[in-house]
Amino acid sequence: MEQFVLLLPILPLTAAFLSQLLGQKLGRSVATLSVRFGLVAFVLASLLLGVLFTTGQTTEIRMGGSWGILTVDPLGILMAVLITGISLIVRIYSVKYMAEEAGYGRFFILLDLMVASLLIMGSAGDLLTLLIAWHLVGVVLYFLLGFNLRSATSSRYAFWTLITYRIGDVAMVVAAVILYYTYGTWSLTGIFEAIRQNPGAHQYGSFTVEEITGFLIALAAFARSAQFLLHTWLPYTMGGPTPVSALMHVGIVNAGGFLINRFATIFAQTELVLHVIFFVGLVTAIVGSVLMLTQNDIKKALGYSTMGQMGFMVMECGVGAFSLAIYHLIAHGFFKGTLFLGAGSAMSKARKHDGRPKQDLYTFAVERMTAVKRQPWIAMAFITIAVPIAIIFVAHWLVAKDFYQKQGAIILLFFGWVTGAQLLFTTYRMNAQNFPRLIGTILISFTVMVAGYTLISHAFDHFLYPDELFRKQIYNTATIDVVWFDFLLILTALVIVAGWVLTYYSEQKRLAGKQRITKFRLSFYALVSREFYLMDIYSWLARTLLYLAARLNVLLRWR
Amino acid sequence: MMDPKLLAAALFLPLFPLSMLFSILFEGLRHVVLRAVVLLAWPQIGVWLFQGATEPVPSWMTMLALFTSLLYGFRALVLRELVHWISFLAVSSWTLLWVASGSMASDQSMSLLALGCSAPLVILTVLGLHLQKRFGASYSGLNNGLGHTMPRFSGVLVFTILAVVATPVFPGFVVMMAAFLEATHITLIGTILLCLIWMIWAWAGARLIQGFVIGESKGNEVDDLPVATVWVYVVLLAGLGVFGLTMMDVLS
Repeated sequence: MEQFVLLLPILPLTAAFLSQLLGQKLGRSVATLSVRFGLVAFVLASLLLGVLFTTGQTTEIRMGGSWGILTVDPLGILMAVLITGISLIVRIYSVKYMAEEAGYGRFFILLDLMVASLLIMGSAGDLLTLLIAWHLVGVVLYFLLGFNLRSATSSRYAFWTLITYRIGDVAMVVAAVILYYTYGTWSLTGIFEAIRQNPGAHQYGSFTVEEITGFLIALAAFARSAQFLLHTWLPYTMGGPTPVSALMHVGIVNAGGFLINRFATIFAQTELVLHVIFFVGLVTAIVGSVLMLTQNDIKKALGYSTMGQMGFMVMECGVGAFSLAIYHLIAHGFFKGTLFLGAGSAMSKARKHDGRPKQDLYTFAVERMTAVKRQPWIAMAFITIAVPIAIIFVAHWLVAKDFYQKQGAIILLFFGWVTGAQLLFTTYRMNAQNFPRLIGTILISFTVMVAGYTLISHAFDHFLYPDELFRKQIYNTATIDVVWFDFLLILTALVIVAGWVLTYYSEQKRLAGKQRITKFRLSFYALVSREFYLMDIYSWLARTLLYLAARLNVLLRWR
Repeated sequence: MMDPKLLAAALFLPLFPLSMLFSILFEGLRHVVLRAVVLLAWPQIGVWLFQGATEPVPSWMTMLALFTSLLYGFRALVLRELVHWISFLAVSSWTLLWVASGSMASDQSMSLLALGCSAPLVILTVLGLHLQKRFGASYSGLNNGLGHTMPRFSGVLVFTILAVVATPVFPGFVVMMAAFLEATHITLIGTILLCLIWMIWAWAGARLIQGFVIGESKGNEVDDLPVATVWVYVVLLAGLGVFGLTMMDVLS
């Protein structure tokens, strides 16, 4: 049965080939062809997942030679189900959505090529196969994003994506080459086995091979998952067709989380790199969320929302919660896919009818009309601070009694608490007809989410990393000094509470008509609305390099 | 005294400033067949001379090769004229053979990889002839929007450019990987230069594609490539892909 994993990439490749070969004869039916092959691939991936659940055995399919290895393991098959499932939805959506576009057949061919590349990437069992698939994903995405051949803008931003991906690609190549030189094999299983048996045995300068390659692989993951400073391509690639945006935000951008999980054996030996990953993820999550709030373009706001989510996913890896990152990317994939595929019809409806619902939430959030009657603040403070903590602790205690010994779990609990508390905090002044019912609904939703998230992520942890010792090792590697950890946690809590207090007083001033727009606020808003001037800096850099190239050509007389 | 064969090889696997001689020669050729022959034969002579040398390649020559490759790739960024672009990318890719040679088990591999670098450039040269026939020599580099007016030609052009800029699974990818294998364990600067070269190639390729394929067409209606001709190109490019895949074994 495991041999059928070969069929997974072959099916979309065949669909692409047949669409090209019979394109003229089939006309618009190329879409049907693509959907049918996609459906078979999804069923096959699901069957393989079922087999893996029952047997629990990881196997390798070798196509001869030292490369061309495909692995049937929990991570690869889980990704295959996600990729084939989501791409099937995108294909079905595209059948009508793209019907009036020029290059209908070309679109489905590119889509099938992308799915094939992603499937090979997910199940690659050696570095060369992984590198080939990793590169091809970037190249095919470039053509999908620049699908509209008349649009210079789409093409420009497609190029930004390609070049950012290439930064990650070269980092990945160097990591692969170092691993090959050190361990004498391209096989991932061989490399991981050697690292497990003799960790930290090889050094370049004062760093171990695991640290150097871990850093390079993390860089590749950062570029693919739009981490801060390598994120500018993501919100600007909305010029591509909506199904491509959906596929990109649902599947392709998650490749960073997948990559870190694929190389978990290396990251389990690299304390420093995991801390860097945590920091980069944290900064990205904050910057992405801040930028999302200042956008007035729905698709761009969704782009920055994805950036924030990717930051959170990478941060989860940084605290050692590798399997949680996989669950996060799947969950994020589904809700973001729904938003993207629904964005077009939402805008279309809004054009016909503004649809302003005169509900409590709308008047409170958009018109900023607050309730006249105040709630008893002691009760509210208790609900805000204590109830989310209680829910989160109980949910975690149910799945692992010793969860409080893992710093990573505490950090994620902290974020969960902040989210829950902030949600409650924002509703105090809401003009609700039945306030206790509102709070009750929020708490029930929060409980369901936390319990679901905890239980499912726990199941993921056991499925992806069945070895308990290895799971503990990852968490231990991500651990920092206890004093520092406590200090940082308290400091962060204080900063957040100070933010709430500041927001509260600012809102009070606004209601009293005493709020002034200071120069600092204006400058900060300008900075954020210009996206920290990063695009301007990168554009200037590109223009300067092109100018230098032209000057050099003149100087050397075009020889 | 340096091995004279190595010095001569520096002309045929052209190192800067000898690379300028190759550019002058290549751009001076008017006939497409002559250009194709030069593209195929020039690096083979270089490989033959290189392999005939009795002394090992000095490290400064390896660094000069990397510098030349970067210089010509970088200068290709602003080129819109196909003959110039082909000439610069030929220099940029052939010079990597100086670096990649160390990780190759047999002399034959180097010749084959040189052939693999030249083949997509030859295809591009012939594609340039199609443009010349349709738009005239002076305008062959000034055509936007071919994606709409000549979709079949554009498809072949895009795949050929991808083959030139070392996209997997084409032979250029194998050369690049072989160069990385050799450079990474010798010098950090070499590795950084290779990273830059690959990025610059991607940039140059994307700019050329944008220049030819993207945008609104300004010219009159022109004939696209006949389907039969397209199939010839498809077979050639597929053959290059298969060739690249079989050459991957040199990396082990």
